[in-house]
This record gives sequence, structure tokens and C-alpha cells, in this order.
Amino acid sequence: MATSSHQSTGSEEGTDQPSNGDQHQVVSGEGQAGRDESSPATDRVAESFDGTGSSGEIEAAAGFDASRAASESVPFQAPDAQDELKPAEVSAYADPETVCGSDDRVRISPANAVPWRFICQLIITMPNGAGYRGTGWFIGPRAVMTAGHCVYSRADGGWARRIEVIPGMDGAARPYGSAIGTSFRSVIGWTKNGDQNFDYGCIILPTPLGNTTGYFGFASLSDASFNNLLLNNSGYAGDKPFGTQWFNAGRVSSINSRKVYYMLDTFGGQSGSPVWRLANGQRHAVGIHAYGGCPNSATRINSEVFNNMYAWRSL
Amino acid sequence: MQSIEGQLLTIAESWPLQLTVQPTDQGPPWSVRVGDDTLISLRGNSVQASALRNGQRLRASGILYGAERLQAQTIEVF
Repeated sequence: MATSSHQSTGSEEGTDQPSNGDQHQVVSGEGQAGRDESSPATDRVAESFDGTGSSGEIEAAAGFDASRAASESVPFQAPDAQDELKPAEVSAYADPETVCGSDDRVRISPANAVPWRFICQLIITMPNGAGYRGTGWFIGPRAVMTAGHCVYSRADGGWARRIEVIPGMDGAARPYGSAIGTSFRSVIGWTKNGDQNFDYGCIILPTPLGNTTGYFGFASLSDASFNNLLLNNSGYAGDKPFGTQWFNAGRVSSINSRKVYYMLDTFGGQSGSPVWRLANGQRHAVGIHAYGGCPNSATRINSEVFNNMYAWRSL
Repeated sequence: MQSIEGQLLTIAESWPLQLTVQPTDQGPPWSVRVGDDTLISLRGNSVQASALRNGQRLRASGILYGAERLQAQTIEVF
């Protein structure tokens, strides 16, 4: 499996330079496993755990217009129709006050119910002292999934020095306290090559806080399963009061083997947040939100990402 | 004060935002940080960071904090 890792007192990333097809290859010597095709023919899932406490559905979030989100979409484009999105034209920016269309994000308050408590405010300190905010989400007792650029920033000196993880944060409220992560995982497609197709990572906490909050399941879906899929997303947006969680939902607009594109409203600070499917009461993350720009996009949980996450959730 | 002009390639959504900008005069892409105190204008009108879009042409001005790394104070989108 294709991971690179960093621990404050442990191994640094390896020095192997992968080919484009091997950017998930192990460089740390951790979590060896076989490889699968990126886009599976069938769905693979790892189940969620609620903690001590179809085509998809939209989460029940007070004030959110679910019917509008379900109907407001652009035609789904399958991979054959669109491998990579072209840059948008300037004429598309006629309404600069919008996020993606109208901003219909709603605040989640309190954030101590399922699934909101799986989601964490991240306070990131990089090696050069630069501070960032991002979002993460539990996938196991100690494993918090996030974007690669939240744990490793080449521009800021490499691996984060520390990341404070605050699950279910709601303004001043920290219902589960917080934990400091200094052990991180990512893949060399991100850490070595800076390829946004591989922009995902994980924080390994010193304590099993996820046993209290619970954690998301995740799934590697087939291309067909993404057709018109309703997606949910929630994270800690930087344009809102600090420590407040904001939810949005809508349909997928396109996919390729490594990315999922959508017009859900997001903002800086939501990097690393989960993009999930709710179906028959089961929640499975299908992407890791990382980029804005309309369409916004997530790193797709394809088979290779799934394998890495499956290993990380048990650390 | 340093300026860079080019095309916006990606918007990494940590906060502050981390933009990747391809300079018009070629060379390696720049990393441009956009925070609360960055003033952004679109065709002369003040806008929020949510108006940034992939593919836009822009000029970012600010303080260098490394090679090809800029903490933006102003961004003009053309």
C-alpha cells in the first residue's frame, strides 16, 4: 500500500521516486498490501461506528433546503465524457458574491450528534510556524482522515509540526475535548510529487478518542454508483465564526478515476472534510474534500485510497 | 513587496487558502496564501475569496516567504 508517514520521533518519508502509476507505493515500510484497480466494478465498504453515544439521501440538518439541493444540479458527466475538467471561463464569474451558485450552507449546532461529532476542527502548525485551519474526520479509534495538504505542505517545510484535533467543535464548546497529533500519514503522490489527485492524509492520535465519538465508514464506489449520487459535506469553514461546523449537500457533477467534482458550497478551512453518501441509514465517505474553484472537488476514495484508509483505521 | 501575474490553477481549501498560480512568464508555479487580511478585487470591485475560480488570471502582491511563495496582501482578478 502506498503510504508515506511522519512521526515526531519516528520514521521520515522514504526516498523512492515512484512512477506516475505507483504514487500510492509504500515508502515508509508500513501497511504493505496488494494493489487493486482504481475504479472498481463493484462497491467496497468499511462500516461506520456510531460511538458510545440508493442514490443517496441528504442528512437531516435544521434549516437546510434538501429539496432544492436534490434538484439543483448540473448533468452528471461520467469519466468517458470528461477525464479532466477544463478551467472555467471568465464569463462564468458574473456573480462574484456566490460560493457555487447561492450559498445555502447551514450551521450545525450543537455538533455532538452523529455524524457531526465524527468531524473535527483542525488547528495546524507547520514546520515554518505557519498556521492553518482545516477539517478532519474519524475513520477509526485513533485515525483522523484529512487532506494531504493539511498534514504535509512543501511550501511550509514538509510535515506538520503538530495538529490539534477538536471533534464536534461548536464555537466555544468542545464536547469531546481535543487531542494533539504529531504522527501523520500520506502518500508519495502528494508528498513527493504534489499531485492533487493524491491529496489525502491521516492523523494518528496518541489516544483512541474515536472510540468515544464514533467514526465514519467509507466506500470505494464503482463509476455507476456515482451516477447522480447525492453527496453530503460538512466542515469548519474559514469565512464563518471560528470553530463552527457548516453543512451542505447536492449531487455529484462528474468523476474521474481519482477525483469527485460537485457544486456543493465549501470554503477555505473545509479542506479534509468528508464527502459522504447516506443510504438506508448507512454513512460511507466516498471522498476527501480538498479543492475549491467551482466545481469543488474531493480526492476520490478509489480502491488504492480505500486500502490505505483501511490500514490506517487500525493503527 | 513582490508581485506575480498568472493563471490560477488550484485553490486548496485550508484556511488561509493556498493558491497555485502559474506565472505568465512561465517558470515554476507559485504558492500564494490568501487570508483574512487579503484584499481581493474582481474587475475593480471588492469581492470575497469565494469569488476565486480555477482558470482566472490574476495579479497577487504581497510578501515573499520563500522561493515562489507569497503571502498575498492584494489580489486583482482580471
